[in-house]
Amino acid sequence: MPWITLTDENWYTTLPVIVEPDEDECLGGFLLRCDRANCWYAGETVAHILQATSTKYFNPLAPAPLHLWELGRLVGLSLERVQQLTYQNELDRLEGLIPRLLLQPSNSFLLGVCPECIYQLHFIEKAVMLPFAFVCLEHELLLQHKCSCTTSLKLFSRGKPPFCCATCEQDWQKLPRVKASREEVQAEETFRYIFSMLFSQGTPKRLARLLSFLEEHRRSKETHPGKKPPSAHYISRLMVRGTLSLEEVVRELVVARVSFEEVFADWKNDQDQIAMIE
Amino acid sequence: MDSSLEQARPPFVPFKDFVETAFEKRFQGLLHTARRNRSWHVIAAAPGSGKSLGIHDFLLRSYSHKQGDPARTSLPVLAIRAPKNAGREQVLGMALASAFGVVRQMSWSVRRSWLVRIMAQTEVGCIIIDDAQDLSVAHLAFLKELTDNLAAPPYERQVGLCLVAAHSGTVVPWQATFAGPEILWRQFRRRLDTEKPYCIVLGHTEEEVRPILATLEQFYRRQLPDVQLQRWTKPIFTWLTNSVLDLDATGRVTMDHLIRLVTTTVRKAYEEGARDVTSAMLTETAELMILRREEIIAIDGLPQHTEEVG
Repeated sequence: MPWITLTDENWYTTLPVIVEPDEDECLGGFLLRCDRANCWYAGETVAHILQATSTKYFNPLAPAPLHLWELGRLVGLSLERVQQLTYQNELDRLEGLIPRLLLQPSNSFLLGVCPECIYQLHFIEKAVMLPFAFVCLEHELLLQHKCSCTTSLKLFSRGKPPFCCATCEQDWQKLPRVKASREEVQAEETFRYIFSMLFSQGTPKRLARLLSFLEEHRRSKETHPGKKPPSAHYISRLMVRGTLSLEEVVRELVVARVSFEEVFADWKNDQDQIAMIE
Repeated sequence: MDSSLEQARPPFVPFKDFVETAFEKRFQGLLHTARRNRSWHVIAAAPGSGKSLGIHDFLLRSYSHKQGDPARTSLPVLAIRAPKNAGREQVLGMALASAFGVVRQMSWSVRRSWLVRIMAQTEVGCIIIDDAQDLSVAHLAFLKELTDNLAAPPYERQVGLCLVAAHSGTVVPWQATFAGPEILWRQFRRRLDTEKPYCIVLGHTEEEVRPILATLEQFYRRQLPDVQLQRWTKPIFTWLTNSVLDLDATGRVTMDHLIRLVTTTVRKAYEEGARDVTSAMLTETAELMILRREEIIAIDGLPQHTEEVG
């Protein structure tokens, strides 16, 4: 827990009010809490980071290490601790055979928040950064993506208070609380399970094998007698482009109606075999 | 002196610690009063008395801290130095903002309201401004606005204020100004403490010099094993209350003069390999400070010893 006194040289290089990240908090939410604690408008902490690093663009989904380092300096935390606010470590572990792995493309990210989490703790869970996240499992509420004025929620709205709508400044804690159905909760749990397995059990080789399996599965579905075979490999095309997002991988898994238990059981068998050999 | 002995001897270490002298007790007593009672004072003392060191020590002991969980910063004492040659209120605002940490770029209209919020949030109870003789009218007007906003709803927070200044004679900075008929000064005057609005904190008497010499003696025993300084209290006091050093004829000694005299003498004794200071050494240093203080020294040739820097 950071504790800074006037005798510490970083008193003057840290924010006036420092904030400690909560367990499983996302980077964007943490930055907003920094803004709020310091009585700043939304995005001021980010603006300071950009100014201090002489950069122009900040990606809350895949932040540059330099930005994370500067943030750590501002709040008196180590780079490792700040990195835990993102999935960058997990993605780095899965990369290797793929030139560049993303969680999801930035332009497809839709911010969703749980009004009850905002109300209680001004908290945005890290899992909302995952593709297909749409339910808060803590409160079993649907994540809200739009304000009642129909404006899409944005993390950092210039000149607006943190955790408020960019247009009407309505506090996000006043967003409607819509109870998720049992099916929606189960679907969310399934998606979370897939990502947790990818992050905890995934390796570059396993990911590559999974992609090959999905490629073959797609080709077999698309090949019909008397019809032209599919032109180019879908996933191979992505890898040639140099970027792959886990959003697409998981979408393919769902579309292929693959049994996740079988896929991950295979991985577990791998692990047991390796352990036996060792 | 034997050059091999000189080479083996470590460099001289001057005394730099803070000492809670009689002056500091008087001075910090006023600061404590301002913090406790949220009262306003103009506090003056001779240059070299130890005001800045006293403020620094007071600040360090105020238990200011930043903690992450829960996110809370406590800054009971906000101490800054008055901006020099910069009369605009924005400059004072920046100096106050810098005391909290990283200063975010923002317009002045935003910063002035931000300052009120952050001071209330961090529980600032007393503002101390060192070198207050350098404040401008605009600075004082801003201070009044800042403290008024803190005292008003929703914060309702009274804040003490200490304007600490160097003075000469019996004139206390700002006293004549606050006696003026303008509304701003009348409002300022009204806020000053009833019992001690203007204070001059006096330096050390002969008896108060003695325990300081005892502290210095203890420190320098590591370097001059037989050093005895207390026996020189009377002559030291006499030298340092000379009219050249004690311009206002207060009959008191400032810490700066005392430390300067002792450090210069002890350093000289150390470099000569002595185990104690002598009357001649002290007299020589006193003469430098009194009779030869305006002397211009011609620097020529090459130094005897070259010290590595960095």
